[in-house]
Amino acid sequence: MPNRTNYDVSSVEREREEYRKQERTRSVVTSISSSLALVALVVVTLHFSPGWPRVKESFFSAEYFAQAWPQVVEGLWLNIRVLGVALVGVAILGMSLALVRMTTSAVMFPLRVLARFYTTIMRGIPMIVVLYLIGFGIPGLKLFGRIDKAVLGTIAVVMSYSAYIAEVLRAGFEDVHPSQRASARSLGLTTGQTMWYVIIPQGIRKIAPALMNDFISMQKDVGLISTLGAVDAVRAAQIVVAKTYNFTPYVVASILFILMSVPFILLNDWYSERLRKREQTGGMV
Amino acid sequence: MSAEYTLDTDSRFGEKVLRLDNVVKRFGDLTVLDHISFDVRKHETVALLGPSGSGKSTVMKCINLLEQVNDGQIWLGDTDLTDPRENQDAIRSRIGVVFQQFNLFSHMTVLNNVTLAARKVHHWPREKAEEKAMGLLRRIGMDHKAKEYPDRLSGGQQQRVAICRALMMEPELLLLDEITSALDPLLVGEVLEMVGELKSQGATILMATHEMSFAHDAADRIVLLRGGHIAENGSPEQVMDNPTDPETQAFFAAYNRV
Repeated sequence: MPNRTNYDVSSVEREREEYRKQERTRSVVTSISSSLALVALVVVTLHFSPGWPRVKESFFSAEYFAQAWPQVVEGLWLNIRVLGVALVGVAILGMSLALVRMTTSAVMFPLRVLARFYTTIMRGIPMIVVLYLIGFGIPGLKLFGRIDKAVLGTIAVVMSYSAYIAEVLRAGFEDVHPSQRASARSLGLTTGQTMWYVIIPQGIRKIAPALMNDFISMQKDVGLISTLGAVDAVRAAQIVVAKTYNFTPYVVASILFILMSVPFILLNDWYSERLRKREQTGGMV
Repeated sequence: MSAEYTLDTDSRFGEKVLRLDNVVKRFGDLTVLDHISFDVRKHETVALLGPSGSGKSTVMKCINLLEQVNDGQIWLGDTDLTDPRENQDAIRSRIGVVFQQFNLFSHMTVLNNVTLAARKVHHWPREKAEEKAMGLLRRIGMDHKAKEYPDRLSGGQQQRVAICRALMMEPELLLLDEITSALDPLLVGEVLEMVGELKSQGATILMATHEMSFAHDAADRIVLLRGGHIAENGSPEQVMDNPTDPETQAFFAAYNRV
């Protein structure tokens, strides 16, 4: 046998590779030209719209942008704090609801029914209504004295999101293969230990992308607490708008919300991709 | 020659570790196990054979308390497993179980898989548990994989680690439920070899299997299930080589053709 370091490539393969190269070049050219065409279409449409100069002035004014920036940023700090507290609250309440719904013991029956009722109702009500109910209903009871609007808003966000998260968690836990539970039980682990050491860690991994997606969605929904009057980024923008009759502050708030979510969106994409790769390479037995 | 073997009373082995006494299991109107009785003695290897749907898996699940019997009793030593007053978790940790697949916890390293029960159920300190686990892994040449996650192991390696995990607390009985059924034929050998070693070291094993030649060579006794009844219960020579019952003959003949 001659010692060959290079593979002998047949003319058929050379011809195929040539064709593939052409195809690749063609697809790159096509995607660049279609992107340029789209950008051109948008620019031209805006340019020839009779109202564009006014829209540009109302939404994208550099002057108002600079004026609104400090106040909106200050408002955003409230959003971030609300988000942090809500995240912890949702984690605790959502996990509790999911665990209660998965119990089988007779003692837990009433709680199980209650949890089911809660998740069903809460997922059905528009979030804005929950905000109004908590934000205006609880102070209306006149039981607790004055409560900060941001606190009430946070409670409403937690109540609403917990119902969704609970169902996502439950789906993840139930997706863990039954053999894993059987293995854990046959080792002598109690139901609780099986849940804690085996089902929860595996379930969470499966649904991590869905959970992160809900987190990103919650990030922007904390902006809804502005409807209660809490001065967050959206409300701060609204105040400037009311004074100036210019909508640029809303764009400022939007940009800040986008900036806040980008890291988590990237993190989510990265993690989902890693999970996908792992599932494709592993998966023996 | 078959005269020296009588049902259940093989004097070569010790006391009865497991005893099924008229076990009945129904799923709705379907009676899956209809008054099943047999024993497994100390140091004995019993192979549970039978066509799919004959009730092998159900027997295993009843012993492992994953299913509740509808009548009869199952004794592990002096403990009646079917008594609802018994602590089920305590009973389970006296029996080592390996399933067909998805045995290992995919989010834990091999070492954590093997030591989990010792650490969490029996409250051993980590060092003691890991020392013992490493000893077990070393015996099967898997100690260098201790820090790996299960998805980096071949199916055969995973099953061997699962057997190690089942052996960790020195169970009175080892239940092997079709542990090679999900494996590539090339990987079956290494798992069966390990079972053979355990047997020679004196383990008490009840295995449900489709590996007829392995059952023939490794088992001390064959229990053949058919339609929820025990069709045969005797030595491999008796049951597999010289069956007298025509249905038993047909069952093994079908396997020999494959």
